[in-house]
Amino acid sequence: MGNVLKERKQNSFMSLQNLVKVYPNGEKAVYNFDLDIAKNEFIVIVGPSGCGKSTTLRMIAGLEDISGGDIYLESELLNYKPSSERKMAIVFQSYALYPQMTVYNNIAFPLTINKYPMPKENAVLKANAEIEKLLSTVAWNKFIGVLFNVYNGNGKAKDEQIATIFGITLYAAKLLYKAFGAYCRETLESLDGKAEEISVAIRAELKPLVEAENAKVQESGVKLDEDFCEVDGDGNKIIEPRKYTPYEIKTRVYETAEKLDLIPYLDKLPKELSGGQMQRVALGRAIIKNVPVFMMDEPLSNLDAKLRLSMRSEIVKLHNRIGATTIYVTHDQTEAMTMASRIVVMSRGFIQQIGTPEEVYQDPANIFVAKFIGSPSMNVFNIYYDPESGCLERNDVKIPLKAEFKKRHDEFYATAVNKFEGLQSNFDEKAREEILKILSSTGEYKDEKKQQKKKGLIALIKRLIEKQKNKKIVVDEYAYEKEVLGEKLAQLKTNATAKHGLLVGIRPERIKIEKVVAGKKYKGVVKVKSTVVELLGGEYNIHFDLFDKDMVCKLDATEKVTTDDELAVSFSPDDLYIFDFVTGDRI
Amino acid sequence: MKAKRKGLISILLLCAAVFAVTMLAACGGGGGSGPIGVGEHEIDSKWWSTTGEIQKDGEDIVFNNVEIKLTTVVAGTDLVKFNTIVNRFNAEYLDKINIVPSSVTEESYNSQVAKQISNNANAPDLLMTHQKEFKSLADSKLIQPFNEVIEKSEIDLDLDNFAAGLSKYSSLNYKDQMFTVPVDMHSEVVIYNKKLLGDNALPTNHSELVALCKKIATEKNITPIAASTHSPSFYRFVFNTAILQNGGTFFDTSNYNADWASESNMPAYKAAIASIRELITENIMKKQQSTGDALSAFLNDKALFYFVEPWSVESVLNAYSGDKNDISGTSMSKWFAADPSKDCADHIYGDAHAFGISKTVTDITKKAAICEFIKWFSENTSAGIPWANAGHYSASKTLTVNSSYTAENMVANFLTKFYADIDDFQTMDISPYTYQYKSYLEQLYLAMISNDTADNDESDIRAYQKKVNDEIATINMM
Amino acid sequence: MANNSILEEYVETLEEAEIAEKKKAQKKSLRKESAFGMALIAPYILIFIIFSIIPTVMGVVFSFMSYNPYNTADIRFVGFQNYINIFNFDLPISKSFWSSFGTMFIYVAIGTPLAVIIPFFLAYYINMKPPGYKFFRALIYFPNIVSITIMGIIFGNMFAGDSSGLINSWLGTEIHWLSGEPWKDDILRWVVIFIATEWWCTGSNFIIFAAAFRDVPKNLYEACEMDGGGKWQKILHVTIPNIKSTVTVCLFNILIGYLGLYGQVIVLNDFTNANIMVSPTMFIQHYLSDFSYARITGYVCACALMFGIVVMFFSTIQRKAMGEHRKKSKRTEDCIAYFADRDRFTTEVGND
Repeated sequence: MGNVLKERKQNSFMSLQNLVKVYPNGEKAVYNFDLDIAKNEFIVIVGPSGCGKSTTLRMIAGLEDISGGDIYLESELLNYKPSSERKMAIVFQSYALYPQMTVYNNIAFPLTINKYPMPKENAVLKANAEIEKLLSTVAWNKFIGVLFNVYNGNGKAKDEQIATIFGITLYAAKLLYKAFGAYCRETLESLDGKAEEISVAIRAELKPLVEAENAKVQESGVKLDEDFCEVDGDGNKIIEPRKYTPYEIKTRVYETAEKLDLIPYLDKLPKELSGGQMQRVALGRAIIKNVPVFMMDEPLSNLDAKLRLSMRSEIVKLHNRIGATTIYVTHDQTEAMTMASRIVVMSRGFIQQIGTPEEVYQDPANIFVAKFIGSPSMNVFNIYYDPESGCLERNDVKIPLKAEFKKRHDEFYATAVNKFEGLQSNFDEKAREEILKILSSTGEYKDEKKQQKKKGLIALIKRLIEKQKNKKIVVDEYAYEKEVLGEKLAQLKTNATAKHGLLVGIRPERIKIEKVVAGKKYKGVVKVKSTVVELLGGEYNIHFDLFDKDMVCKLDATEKVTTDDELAVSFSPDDLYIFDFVTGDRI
Repeated sequence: MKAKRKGLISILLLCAAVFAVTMLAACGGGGGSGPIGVGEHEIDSKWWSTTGEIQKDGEDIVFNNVEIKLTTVVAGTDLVKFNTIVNRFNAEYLDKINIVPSSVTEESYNSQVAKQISNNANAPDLLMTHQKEFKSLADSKLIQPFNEVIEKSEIDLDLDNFAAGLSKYSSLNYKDQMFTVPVDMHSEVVIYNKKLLGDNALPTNHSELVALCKKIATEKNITPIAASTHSPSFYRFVFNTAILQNGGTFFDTSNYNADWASESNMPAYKAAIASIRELITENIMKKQQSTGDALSAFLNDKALFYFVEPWSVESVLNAYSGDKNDISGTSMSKWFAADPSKDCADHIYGDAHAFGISKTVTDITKKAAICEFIKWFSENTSAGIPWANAGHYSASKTLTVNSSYTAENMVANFLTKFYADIDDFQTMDISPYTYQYKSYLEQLYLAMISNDTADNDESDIRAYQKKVNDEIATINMM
Repeated sequence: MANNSILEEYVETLEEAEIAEKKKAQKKSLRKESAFGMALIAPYILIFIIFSIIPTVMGVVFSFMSYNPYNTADIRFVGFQNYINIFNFDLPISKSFWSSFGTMFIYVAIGTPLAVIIPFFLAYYINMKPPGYKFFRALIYFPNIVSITIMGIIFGNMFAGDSSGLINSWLGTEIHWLSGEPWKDDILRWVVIFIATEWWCTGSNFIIFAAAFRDVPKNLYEACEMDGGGKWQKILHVTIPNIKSTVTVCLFNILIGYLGLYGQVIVLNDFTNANIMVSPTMFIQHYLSDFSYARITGYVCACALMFGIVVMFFSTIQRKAMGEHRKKSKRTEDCIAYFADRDRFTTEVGND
């Protein structure tokens, strides 16, 4: 294993190295998914339908087999571990709540069927310490008052109540309850001034138990630390998996329900809940497990628009509060932009770009990312580049570019040509994947051009006849890709030297637009007529035709604009993003 | 719409209520009659009617295309012969009387015929079934007596012309009434191989039978008696024969109850099963031999005696590869009697067919036609001879003295040998519960014969007697 | 003034007339619809009335009478005598009736769980789509195609008591599989009946279960796996609750079918026990169909009615047992109390 990979594994919280997913019928869904995740990050994997994001998520969760690559969580290899041991929780798009269980049971379910590693506490000694602390620090009258009320109240699980009120363990509460029992027959007044007596009595009850326990501990030679947890020779707590007690489960579920505002729904069945409530129950079920990694598979897709907005912020707040690392999959780029700490853009199984929202927005790596991120999406149009004048020209519009662009441009095409020639000379599987990756960024469809074995009876007969003639039919699997490679190489070579076309993009908000006022002089603008005017409330999205494309730009809605109005449009060359249409990459 | 549905439901209930009331009304009449008691009764009111007049042409009655539906219990190979006989009659009486036969098996005969007659739907006109079944039909008022039609038509159908042992049941305990006319008698029969018998004498009683068989068994190294002990024809007739030969009775005539375990009957029953069992334990008869095996043993000269149904005798003769004259019949008389000196030791139990008229027949000419057919059947050799070849010995005295009848091979060498004395032939006495006796006797036999020892015999006999009496009590519950 | 009132009255009557018109039109259209509906269901209703309702009512009426179908003069009304006789355990026929119940209940008690569990597991394994599962699916369903008589013939020949039976000749034994008396020595017969019934019935229940399994959402299995559930937990918490309604319907059908045990015991028997009634249906059929027992038809009708009541009783119990009963869950209250308690310490007690 390469040193780089090893380092990555050890340095990052979670390391996904070259994940590949191939389905049994040969179709590849994910190519070389490579990502390092730090603790507490909110990673959003975003992309159009069918780009492989859900598959990747399921591979990480263990619901799909990994065809290639490795997953490391805190330097532990996760590939062959079953889902339950991966320390992950997942929230599904369809919530996947158990329909026959109440909300309480749904949330409690992970705790009831699993054992969780916890330190071994000595119940008796801990209880003793807690009670001592309580007796020494508490205000007596109120203490007695509370205990008395609990005793003579009509709640059912009184020991649990005591445990909750005083924040002690259940065992301690049971002891306290028993010790105090004798005194509670009398009235509250009669207990005045009996503080000493009562505490003596309580201590007396405890003493024999404690002594017996201590003796036992001495005998067995087990070492305890100050929290009364068993420790091994090095002073590290011994961690053993055990199941939570019903009381512990109850407290945890209630805490989680409070966090998610689900207390009024604890008794309801999933079929009685609305989408948002079900969503929160699914979240609760995930966070109660206290695992370091959360995964969410398009959880907001089934909610209505308004709820989506509020849940977005809820999820982020939750993430910050519990401090877990989250991997979130969605097709909605708005969600990605608003929630993520880092975005992974995918298309057709390939990662297109990894970066923070700002990076992905301001600095897209290729045309796909540029078009995908941003709402309304970036305006992209075709324009010619003249290497001599160093300008972008189309029809009568001329946009001058800075000198350093030429340098970048020439370097770009030189490296591209080299790379392609390298691929051509040694065309293997990796080369093929490169071609597919390029196709995924440019957005060209491969299926139409794919050379398929012609189907049909006549074709079959023809093939058989040719077989008879001993003509060998060589089906070159890479034929298509090679063809594409050849075309692109030729194009690149042309682009390197001659005047050629380019894809140029500009964000809608960067287009300067104003209504044409009669009599005003305009310089450096193009006058257009708007085709569609969309009022969003505080601003307009104005559509107009330019360079044979439908472009969108934004304008404050201080003045009314209609489709009859003429508009003056201009933009600064610095705001342009220039892409090569052959490879899709940004120059 | 809801109102409509409610309306429908109330109409429904109304229909049902009307029906119920009608039924109740229908029975309002009688204080109802209980079961027909034992002993003789008089007929208070007739349940049949007579219409029409008999037209005579001189001495003969004029029959003009009278159609008679005959339902018979005969089936199998017998039925073929019976149909031949019917066709002969139809040919002789062309355009006058036409008999249309149909066959119903024994198990469902009574039920089916009763349904048809009581609903008057496709009811037969002439019934032909076992003599013992007619009592329950008469008690249910489903058949009518012959007296009236014999009087009016003057057809000479006289019970004196039939075997006394069979005609004595004809009244079915209704005083002076003639409900049935006997047709024939049949039981399990024994045929033997003369070659294997050699010079030995035919056995005349049980000990002789056992001795002879043992001798032949050691001499020829065969199982001398070929019989399918678990086939119905064997156990229906042979076991009952054994009971009769030991002095047993099938029921108490004073109350119709089975009395098999009574003081007088218990020894008879025990002796009966013991004598059959002895044949097995002495290895002269195989237990539970299949019918195919028994037949092939006899056909291949590997058995001396063969217990067979009489209607199969003809086919056995035809299948025998050797000289047919080597096979002859012999009687079971005294073979199972513990005490051969008693009178009853000669008795042979069997079934007898009889004719009866359904109550649905009203036209006097039709009834006369029925009598005509019966008379023809009982007097004509064209009926008697095929029927004898079918293994049924005629009950008519006219036929049994007829020379061509007696000259027939089957009659001469078999039927007359089977039944040495016609008066020793017994069938079941008059009782409405003959079905119960019959079926439980069969089950008793099967239960007892499956044991190799006599230890459980008494308890078995008691148990089955109780079953029969329980059923009779059940039927009379209401 | 008077004019006004007359005018008002006139207007009122007009309005009333309008309303009446509307109602008439509405009724007419409703009637048309309902008439059409009635016409469609009329054939079934007719047949149902003629062949189900009327005979049932007749049967009930006959049970209060001493009814002889062949001898109409012998019919008389006897009130509850038949029912008294049914509960009179001295009568041998009543004993036979109630003992037939006994054998039938044992059969139902053993057979019903078998008829649910075996197809359940078969469907579970086929649902995992092992290689060749389509073939196995057809194979499992195949026996259900034959009728019960064919099943009787097949198994009757296989397990015939004498040495010619297929099993006996293969093993070289002479075990009397199908003979014996109930409660004494007919265990083998019931084993054969169970084998035959399972072979025959598993298919239809299997198909139902297989379909129900497919309807369980896959997501739930994945959620359970992520929560840490193993194979048994998945079956318990995901599979079974989601197919519960299907199982209920299935169980109901099986129960009713088995309570009417008739076909198997009629065809799978020996001549020695052909007359022993081992199920109430057999009892009723035997005593109703025979001419000899015509006189006690009323009693048998009463028996049939009793049997029907027992079946109704059982099906009601089964429905209640499998119905949705929700334990009252009081978690919300408890939770609110919990949070109140937690704050109690600070509010009521407080640290000094």
